[in-house]
Parts: sequence; C-alpha cells; structure tokens
Amino acid sequence: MPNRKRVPPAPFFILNDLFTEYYRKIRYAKKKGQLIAWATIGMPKNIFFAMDIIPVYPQFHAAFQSTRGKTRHIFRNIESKYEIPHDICGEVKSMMGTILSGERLSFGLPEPDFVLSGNGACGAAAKGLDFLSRYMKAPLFFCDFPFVSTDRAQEHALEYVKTQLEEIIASIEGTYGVKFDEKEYHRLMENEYKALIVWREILKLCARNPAPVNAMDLYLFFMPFIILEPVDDAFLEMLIKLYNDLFVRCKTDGERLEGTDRNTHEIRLLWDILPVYHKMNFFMEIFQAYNANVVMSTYLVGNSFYPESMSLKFQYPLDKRQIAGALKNAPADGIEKYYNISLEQDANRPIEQRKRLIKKIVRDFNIQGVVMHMDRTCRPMSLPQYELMKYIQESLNVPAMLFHADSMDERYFSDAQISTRLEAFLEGLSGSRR
Amino acid sequence: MSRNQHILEAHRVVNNPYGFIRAGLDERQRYIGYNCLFVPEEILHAAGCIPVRILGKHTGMDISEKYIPSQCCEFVKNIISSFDKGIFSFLEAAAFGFCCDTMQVASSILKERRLVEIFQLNIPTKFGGESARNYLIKEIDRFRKSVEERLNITIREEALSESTRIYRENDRLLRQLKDFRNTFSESLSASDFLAVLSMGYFIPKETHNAYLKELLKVLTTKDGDFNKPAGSRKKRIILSGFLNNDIDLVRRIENLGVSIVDDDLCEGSRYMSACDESESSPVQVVADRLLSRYCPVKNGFETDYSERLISRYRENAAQGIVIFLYRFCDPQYMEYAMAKPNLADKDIPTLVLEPVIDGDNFKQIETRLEAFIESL
Repeated sequence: MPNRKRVPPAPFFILNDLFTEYYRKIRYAKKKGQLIAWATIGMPKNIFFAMDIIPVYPQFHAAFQSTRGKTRHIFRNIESKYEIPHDICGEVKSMMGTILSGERLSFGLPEPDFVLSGNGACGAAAKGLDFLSRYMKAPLFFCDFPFVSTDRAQEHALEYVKTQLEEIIASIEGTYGVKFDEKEYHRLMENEYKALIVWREILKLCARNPAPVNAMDLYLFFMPFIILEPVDDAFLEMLIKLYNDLFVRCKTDGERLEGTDRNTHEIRLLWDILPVYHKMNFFMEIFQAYNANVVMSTYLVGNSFYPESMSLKFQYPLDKRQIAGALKNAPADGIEKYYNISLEQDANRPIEQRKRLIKKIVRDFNIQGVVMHMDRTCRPMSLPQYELMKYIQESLNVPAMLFHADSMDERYFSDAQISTRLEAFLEGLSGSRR
Repeated sequence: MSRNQHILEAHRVVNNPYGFIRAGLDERQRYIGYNCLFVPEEILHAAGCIPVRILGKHTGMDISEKYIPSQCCEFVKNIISSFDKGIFSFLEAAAFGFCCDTMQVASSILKERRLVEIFQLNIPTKFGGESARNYLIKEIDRFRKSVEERLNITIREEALSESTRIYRENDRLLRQLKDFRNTFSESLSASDFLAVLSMGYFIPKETHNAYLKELLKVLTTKDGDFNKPAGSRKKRIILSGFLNNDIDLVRRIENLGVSIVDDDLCEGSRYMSACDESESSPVQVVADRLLSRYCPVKNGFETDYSERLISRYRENAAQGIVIFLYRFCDPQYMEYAMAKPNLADKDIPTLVLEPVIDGDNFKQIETRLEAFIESL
C-alpha cells in the first residue's frame, strides 16, 4: 500500500512567525496606549481592530495551552477552590483557571481594559468571560447571537445583532475615546475575504485523492481567521504559500501513484468537530500506520468556509495578482454575504443543518469513514452526535466511530481504549476495501 | 371548601400532573407543552389550547441515551425519555424556548426523531435595552404565525388581548398569595405554596385564577384558624435554582425542622411576572411579561444573581441559602461560581445540592442539609 510519511505543510514557520508577532504585539500594545479587550471566539474581530483595539481570545490561548500539556494542574486548582464542577467546558475552565489560580498567563498576556463577550459559539464561554470580567473588574460588553434555525439568519436576527454591535461601538467610543474607522473596517473585511478565497481553494485540494495534507495539520492555519488582524498581506501570503505547497504535493503524488488503484491510496476520513489538542500526535501516528488520512473536518469548513463550487481557475504558482482578479470576478454580493456570515455562528444551528453539511462533505471529499470526537468540552456541538452518527451510518451508508474525550482535559482520555477502537475501525475500513 | 381541602387539591394535581391531565382528558381540547418560563403561554392560550409545562418526573428508567449522550443535563434527558415513553402523548405539540444550548439541541432531536411536533422560539439572552425587546416581539410574532399555520387557526387580536388579561390576573393573584405568605409564613408552608403556584402549569389558567381567588378568600378570612405570623424558632432558609417541581423534596426539607421563607426557584417565584397595566399591544404585553422574569442563564448578564439572592436573604431575615443545580448545567453553575464570592464576603451561608429526577438521592441530600442547618 503506498504510504506517505506525514510532512507538515511548509509554511508552518510563517504561521509560527505570525503567532509570535501576534503575541509580541499584544504584549507591547499597552505600553503604546492601545486598548486590549478579551473576547469570546465569534465576536467579529475586525470591528474592534478598526477601532484600534486588540481583541485577545483566551479560548484560543486555552487550546494552545492544552496542546502544550499545561492545563491539568490549572483544572485541579479551579475545581477545588471555586466549586466549579469538573464537567463544564474545558476551555472555560482553562481560561478562568489561569487567572484564578494566580498564575500569570504565559506569553505575558496583558489584562484586559474591557471584555467583549458573545454567546454565538456557546453560552458557556460567554459565562466564562462574564466571570472573568467581574473578577478582574473589567467592564463587560455583551452581544447576544440568536440561534439560527434556517439556512441563513433571519432578517430580524441579523438586525438584532447589528443593533447590538452598533450600541457596543457607541458605548466603547464614548467611554474610551476611540473611534470606529469604517473605511478601515471594510479594508480588513476585504483582506479577510481574499484570504477566505484562498482558504476555500486549499480545502478543495483536500478533495483530491490522495489528499495533500492531513486536515489535522490545517487547524492551526485556520486560527488566524479567528484571531489575527488581516491588516497586511502576511496572512494572505502564508495561505498562498500553503496552497502552492499543497498543489505541488498533489502533482507529485499524482505522478507517484499513476497507474495504481485509487482505492488503495488512502483511507479518507472526516473528523467531526474539534481535535483532541493534547493528543494530536497520538492520532496522527495511528492514522499513518493505517494509511488513513483525515481529509476534512466539520470544524474547518463550518457553514461559512465551505468551498462552494466557484471556478476560479487559479494557475500554479498562485500569486496575489490572481487573487485580486478572483475578487473582481467574485459574485457581486460575495463580500456582502460574508459581512452577514461573520455575524452568524456555526454552533448556533440545528442538527438538520449539520446533517446537510456532513452530506456535502462526504460527497465532495469522497469520505470513507467518519471519526466523531464526542468532546465533553463542547456541549452544543457534541450533544447531537448520536443523531448525526445514526444519520451518517443509516442514511449516508458511511461507517462512523465515536469516542468520548475532551479536547482540553487530559483526564478524560484513555489511550488504550481509544487506540483499540480506532484501530479496529480503521482495520474494518481497510478490510472492506480489499 | 376548607383551606386544607384547597391545599390538598393542589397537591393532588402536582403529585402526578400528567396522570391528572390524562385522567380528565377532553378529546376536543388541544394541549400544547412548553419547556421554559420564557415561552409565551398567552399565544397558546389565545389559540384555544391548554399550555402544559413540561417538567422532569420519574419515568421509571432513563432511556434518553438512545438519543443524547450522558454528559447532558438531567432535565433534558428526562424530557427526551418522557417523550419516548409516551408520557406526553396527550400533547399535540411542544413549544421550546431556547433557554440554553442544551435545550436547543433537545428540541432539535425531538423534532428530527418526530417524537413530537415542535414550535421553536428564540429568547434573547440579554433583556435590557430596546433591541432585545424588539427582537423578542418579532420572535413572538414568528412563533404566533407558526402556531397558526400548524394548528390551522387564526389567533385574533381580541383573543390574545383577553389571554393577556387572564395571565396578568394570574400574576396578580399569585403575588397576593406570596404577600400573604410573607406575613404568615407559618400558615402556608413552602411545599403548599409551590403546589398551589405550580398547579397552574397543568390546568386552564381561568380555573387556576378561580381557585386562587377562593383560596385567598379562605386564607384571609378573619376567623381562619391557621393564620399565624412568622416568628417561630425554626432556622430560616431560602431555596434557589431548579427542582423540577419536586414538591415532595421540599416537604422533606421542611420536615428537617427548617422554615423555607422564600424561594427563587424556576418553577416557583421566578414564574411570577412584574408587568403593570399598559397601553401596549397584546404582543408587546406578552414580551414585557417575559422580560420581567429572571433566570440566571438568560438575564444573568444584567441582573446579578448574588445581589438578587442577597436582597431576598435580607428581606426575609433568612439564615442560609440552599441552591439546587443539575449536573452538566454549565450556565447555572457558572452563575453560582460568580455569586459565591459575593455571598461569602457578606457571610451568607450557601449550600449547593444536586437533585436527581429519575431516582431519589434524598438520603445524601439529607445528611448535607442536616449539617448545613446545624451550622446556621
């Protein structure tokens, strides 16, 4: 069986630089008199960047800490001291625990001038930041993102979110003497939209057989969409390099595997929701041993980032000129739609829509099996998974396995149990192809 | 009817509410369930239905894990189990207000599995300001249209206006009862008060109003033998949180020798709205009634849970607060974590207990309660 060694995408070092720069910037922001706001994931960052405020996302930081195995003692501390049960969201426990345990945040994160909280990703994170705002005596600005029960948010729901954001902007302007720069906001949104075009093309490459990368390696590349200011071309350039790197891989793999039976190339998997941050290598090793590849994840495409069929006809090597052209030829309402999409939230959706998303991925990415991480940390995303699994197995006729773990909390992970189940699942998938 | 007969009648309803409804089921009557105190019952009432509150009850055995994993709050698991077992078979549909992420998932599952016809309603998570009110009004309108479409009826404006009047009267009568209890807490135990209040979740509102009027008349009669002002030597506590209307548990707590002088329970006093007479349209009145209610999951961002508890504690000269929370209820636990330091700063003793719905863990609760009461 042609088995390719896992090679992380080349632009990892650029990504690393971007994050290092991000942390450097927020560390020195205070000295420069810039305002720092701690925010929940899902708060539309570009609005605040356009006010010369730096939104910092403690949830992202929590995930980062978990990857580095730094959360265990924080959890114990917070659970015993503050009567916070062990079974609430690990991201919330981690971000609260770092403050409550008296430990300074690593990388010298500054304390916030105020807190921006929204319940779009979930109610637990919003409560967590509410807690921190009270504890650190930092004012709280809260935005309510209603549940989206239809394909796109209804007009009155969007109106509600827009009105609240306008109120928040006015309130911050009045209190802190900063100004919302509308022109800058549109510039940032346009930059981000350009990045989104490339991201969608990158995801499209993963539909090829074999896929050029394990999608688990793409999670970090997705993070800049959530936290970074798309102020200059650094992020875009990184994505272009990533695209070109993966494009070359596709070509090389194509040549290498020419004439072989495509069914034997790899076991193509879909990963449902978040990775287990503290066990990335554990999974990668098992996947590699079985020549399995996570070619896509529901988290990476969501409802907003799906690579819809838009024929952009990019030429290798991709460059900024082609993207500018693509932007010009993009549907006229593309960016307007993106403005609204940025106000909608993926977690805030019914099971029906998640089923539709999975169906599309299974079809477009030629998925042979689905690995479902039932993440104790994320209740809104994990509670419907029994229903989703039933749908995948019975309606889509695709094998699926489900395991319980916690993306943040190592205590809920059993190496032996999970490896046995995953290996049996992959064994079954390879057997069924023989 | 005497005072005791009135109270017994309330207990008869709430002891087995869904059995009570089934026993007196009227084939021509439409019953619609609702899951949360933020669902606009008036719309269902104006549609000619009897709104029935969905609360967790013993189902014999939890079978919810056919549908939803175990890291889910017990209330939601119990709702799913109950629908699966046909306990709510008399309901034509159920209205789900999205009070939390988990409840939203539950309604999606019930809908997908066709266990019941579902009406969904978004409830804003912040109650202050015009934007939330405007949004809620539009959501109530949307909810009204979906009820009209599914039930194939038209809800007339006059009917809705009449329903809001009936519900406001219910609020007024419940407040009178609560005022009476504040003065004569020895005359109406907390378990009796909760039974009287919550029987309104399972019978037509007009019937409940008539019942409350009669009861108030009996209670406030000058020659009533039972009215004794508060003043016993019992330790005074307040209950907060959510108990799924487990009146028996409240009674057993009272039997430990404490006086439950007030409650801040979801199925208890939090149900009472503070809505004045207004010239607003019926839908606006409905929205304002809902916005006047409190739930730490919803409007905790504007109303500090600890301050709410502190004011109740002081008004009632209480000595401790017992908070009931269900496992896996992240938002309520977070609110408690936020409230705890403030309560501790003010030397207000608190105890958190985790009740169970499909079982009885009273022995564990009892030991902890006894120790808590002793420490007061």
